[in-house]
Amino acid sequence: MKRVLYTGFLVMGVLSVLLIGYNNLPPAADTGTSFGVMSYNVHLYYDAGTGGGNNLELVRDLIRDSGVKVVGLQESEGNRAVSSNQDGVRWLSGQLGMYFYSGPDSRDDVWGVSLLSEFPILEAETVALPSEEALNRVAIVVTLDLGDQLITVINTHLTFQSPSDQLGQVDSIIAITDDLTTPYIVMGDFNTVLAQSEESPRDITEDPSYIALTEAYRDGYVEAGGAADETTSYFFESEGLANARIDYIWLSSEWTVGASSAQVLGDESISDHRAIAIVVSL
Amino acid sequence: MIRREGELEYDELLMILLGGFSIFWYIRMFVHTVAMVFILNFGGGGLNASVLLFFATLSGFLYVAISSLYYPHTDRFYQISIGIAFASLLLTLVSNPVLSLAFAVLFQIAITPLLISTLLILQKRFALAAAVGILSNFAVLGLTNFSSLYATSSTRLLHFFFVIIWYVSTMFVTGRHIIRTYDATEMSSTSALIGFLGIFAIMFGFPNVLAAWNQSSVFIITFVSVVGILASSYLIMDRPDLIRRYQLYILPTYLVSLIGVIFLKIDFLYYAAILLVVLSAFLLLSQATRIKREGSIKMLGIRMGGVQFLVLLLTFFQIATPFWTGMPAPLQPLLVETTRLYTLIIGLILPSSGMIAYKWRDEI
Repeated sequence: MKRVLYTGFLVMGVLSVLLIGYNNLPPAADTGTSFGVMSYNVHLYYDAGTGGGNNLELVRDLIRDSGVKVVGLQESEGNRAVSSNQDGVRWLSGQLGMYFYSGPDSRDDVWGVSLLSEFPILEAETVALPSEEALNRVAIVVTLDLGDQLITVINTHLTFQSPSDQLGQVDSIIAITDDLTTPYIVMGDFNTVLAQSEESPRDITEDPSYIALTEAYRDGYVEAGGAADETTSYFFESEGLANARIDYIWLSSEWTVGASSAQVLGDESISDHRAIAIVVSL
Repeated sequence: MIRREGELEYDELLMILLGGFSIFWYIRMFVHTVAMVFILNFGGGGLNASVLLFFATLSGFLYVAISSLYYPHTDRFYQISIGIAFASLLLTLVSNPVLSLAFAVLFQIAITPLLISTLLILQKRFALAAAVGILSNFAVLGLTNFSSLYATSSTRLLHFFFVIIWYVSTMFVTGRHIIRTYDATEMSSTSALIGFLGIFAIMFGFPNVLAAWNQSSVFIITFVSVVGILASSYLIMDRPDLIRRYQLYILPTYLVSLIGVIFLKIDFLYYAAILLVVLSAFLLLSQATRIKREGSIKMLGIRMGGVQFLVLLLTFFQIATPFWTGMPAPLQPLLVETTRLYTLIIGLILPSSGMIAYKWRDEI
């Protein structure tokens, strides 16, 4: 009987290691300098509100159907019991055949930002952003190899609780891109609705973070034909604020933006945000 | 069942498998409960009555202790509990999150008598059942590539088939009349099981959780965890002499390596620490569950209720820390950057339950 149990243990152990190893084989590398980019807050893999529905399959379908090759995800840390201990980024990576990077360590109490890419990831790091009054915030800085060109993609999720923290976080990101020598894309959930809470109603163009960002970068979504006041988040309605565009894809000067390529995808049945996507080329 | 030192009877093997698969489901339902309570109460809708179901999690241990005083746990009792557990597992697949949560909690309560009986029969070899449970979880994580069993249509189908297989095999084993009734006062050693379930549900039973904790390789973590499980199983089954000889080192090894996992950032040491935590955790469980102690039902109730309350409270704090700004104001100071601390304390429940059982033992 012992032999049976030992054999069973071995089979299960080897099977687990092999399955997990197989699932984590690197995908095929893509090349090219014209591609779709998406930013999407996936709400810790739950649909909006209290539906409790797991949105992994819907997020996968949305990304696959959009045809984009680079995706920045926010609220993507699923490796906690509150998100059923599921590694959503790893699963999406396997399903979509994309490379991935996630940050930071889950022990750092951040909701997680990640990047999925059909282009190989050469380098990646997580940078802590200043956060004096509220939750920890980070940006991930990822270098992608497009074949004969390197680019840098930054993905972040800024605070929605402290205007001063948010502006400090924007300044930190601008400082990072000031040092870059490659073309870059900065995307994420910037929570620029904060200005409304100071003097409501207030136009987004008066928001200090928005002003700093537009002075430093090009607004890829608007250049691609997207509406500047497009609603991309459903969250703030419940906070008594007007829902607004808080998700952005900012570009450095080298990029050409596909005319009318802007897309806003998904609804509350998937997440409390909608995805935004554009096509860019070098 | 007559057990001779070093041998493994057929019925004992069946009990190990039965206990193992039950532990697998218990851990899965515990995590599902935490996830559903979180999304229903902190996912945008505000606190509501469903939060009360969180306090029923793990409460099966207490109910079983009390109910066994009034209702003898006959074969019929087990068949009914297993039937309820089976139905509950299937019904967690309903789309309504409150119902899914309620059935996950009901499963945990209904399966507890079987878990306790398995533990009291297997005693120190119950750790082998725990090994089956954790290895099953690894295999399922491999099959689903670390998604939840509720995530996709195919994983939900997998869930359905696993439940059917579990039920049929469980009824087969219980049909052999090897499950025995017990006196509630024997249950003192089960408190270590609650500690084991707590730390393995939130961390060591999920290699992806450990990988995300330190941005490390999930493949290597799975490998070292499997090595730790196999090594502890070998020691428990075939080298109890070694365990006895080095008994005093097991607890310090567990504590030091647990601290290492929680705080270390160097990959090589992190992997080594995981291996040692897993190895020593199973040995600690084995040490704690081999101890039989007869005591008063009052003390038992206090202990079981106390351990349940501790695990729930600490689990709540551990999961709430990344969301502290959304928690009630009086709790916020307790939740700022304290994930590591609460994870460590949850990890300490396993050895402390074992130590209490050891201190108050009647026989070893």
